[in-house]
Amino acid sequence: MKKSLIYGTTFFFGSLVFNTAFTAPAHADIVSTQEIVTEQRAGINKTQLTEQLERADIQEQLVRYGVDPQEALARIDSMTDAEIMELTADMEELPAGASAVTVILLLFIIWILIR
Amino acid sequence: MRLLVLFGALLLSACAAGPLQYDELVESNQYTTAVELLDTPFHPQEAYQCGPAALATILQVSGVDDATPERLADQVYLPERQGSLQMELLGATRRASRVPYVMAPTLDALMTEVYAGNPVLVLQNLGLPRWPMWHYAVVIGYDPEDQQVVLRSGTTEREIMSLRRFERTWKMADYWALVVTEPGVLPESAEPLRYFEAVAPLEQQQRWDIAIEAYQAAAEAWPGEATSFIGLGNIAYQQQRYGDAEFNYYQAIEINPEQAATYFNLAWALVRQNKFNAARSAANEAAQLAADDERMQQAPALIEQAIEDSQG
Repeated sequence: MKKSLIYGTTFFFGSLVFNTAFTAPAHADIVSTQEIVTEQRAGINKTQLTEQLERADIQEQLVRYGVDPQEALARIDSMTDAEIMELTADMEELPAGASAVTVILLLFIIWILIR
Repeated sequence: MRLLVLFGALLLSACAAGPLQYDELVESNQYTTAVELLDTPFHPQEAYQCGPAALATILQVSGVDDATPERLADQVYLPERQGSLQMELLGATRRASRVPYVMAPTLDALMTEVYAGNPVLVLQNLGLPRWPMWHYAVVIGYDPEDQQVVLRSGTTEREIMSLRRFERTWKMADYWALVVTEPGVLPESAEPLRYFEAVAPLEQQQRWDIAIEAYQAAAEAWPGEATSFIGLGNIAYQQQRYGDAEFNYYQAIEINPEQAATYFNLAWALVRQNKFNAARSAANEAAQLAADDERMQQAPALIEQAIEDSQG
């Protein structure tokens, strides 16, 4: 884990160089549909913009969690700002769907305990 | 033994929190015949990889033939967490050019989809609230007589779960569920705002074709929703089809003449076509409609500047 942390941090600084890979809005002049929908949901007139740094930050986190750096970029580009913010908040606590096998294991442990 | 007592206490608190919906569903007698979507592919999951397997299942049903669990694992699997996160499933769906529709959190919406022929990817907590075991599965059937749900789950092709137990596991995951349909087809349970929230990111990421098809389907299904036309207009604008953009903004205004942002965008589409006077009045309209919105207040000045620039 520590090793991958170092690798992730190194990559984080490396990523600043090719930051152009992050998508920028093509036309900043019109109000985007995303903004309109967000306003309708929240009932407010504020738009949230993710700083580029946060995107780089989340990329670093993904790399730390074992994702290939290039793949991490592609994943980030497929997410919305809100999703990225959620992800940045706490990757350790978010539900990560995994396996039903562990449940069987748990039931087995309980069974051993009550036997 | 003390451990076990602790488990019991946790289990109890999980049952106690909030009412379950299944009683209501059963009593409504809305569904009388059993349904099972037999054509739904089955991908037995590799260790911990229920995310890629479940996503491959619903993506293939929506017509993405090359969505295999192996390919998707690269896109949604987090090795260090030994699992997949919800937002990664949404992102991978977008990368496959499909609309990731996060369904309303109700059993009723779930049944609506399954009975319409759409398998539904659900997040379940098969453990306890404080000791979660997150799992993705795909609901493919329901039998109202026995009150049982059928799922493609993990390595089990036909997992049968009582409706009650299913709801409890689903509820502990906040009733999170994902429906993916073919391009241009709305999910049966689709609600306008929810649907637009699912489509707008595709537009933001410049996945134009799928976004256009989605907005067109929405425009047809909900003729009273202006957002479909704003979306179509915004795509046209970003593709520099300013005439089409103008046309769609006018459609949106006809439906909702009170929305300042539509006039704001219309003003820009008009400027780009050198229709300066019309652009000025659209900008003024935007400013008048939203007295407390700073950006809208700037519209007349911004448009004036743009007119100058284009004449300069």
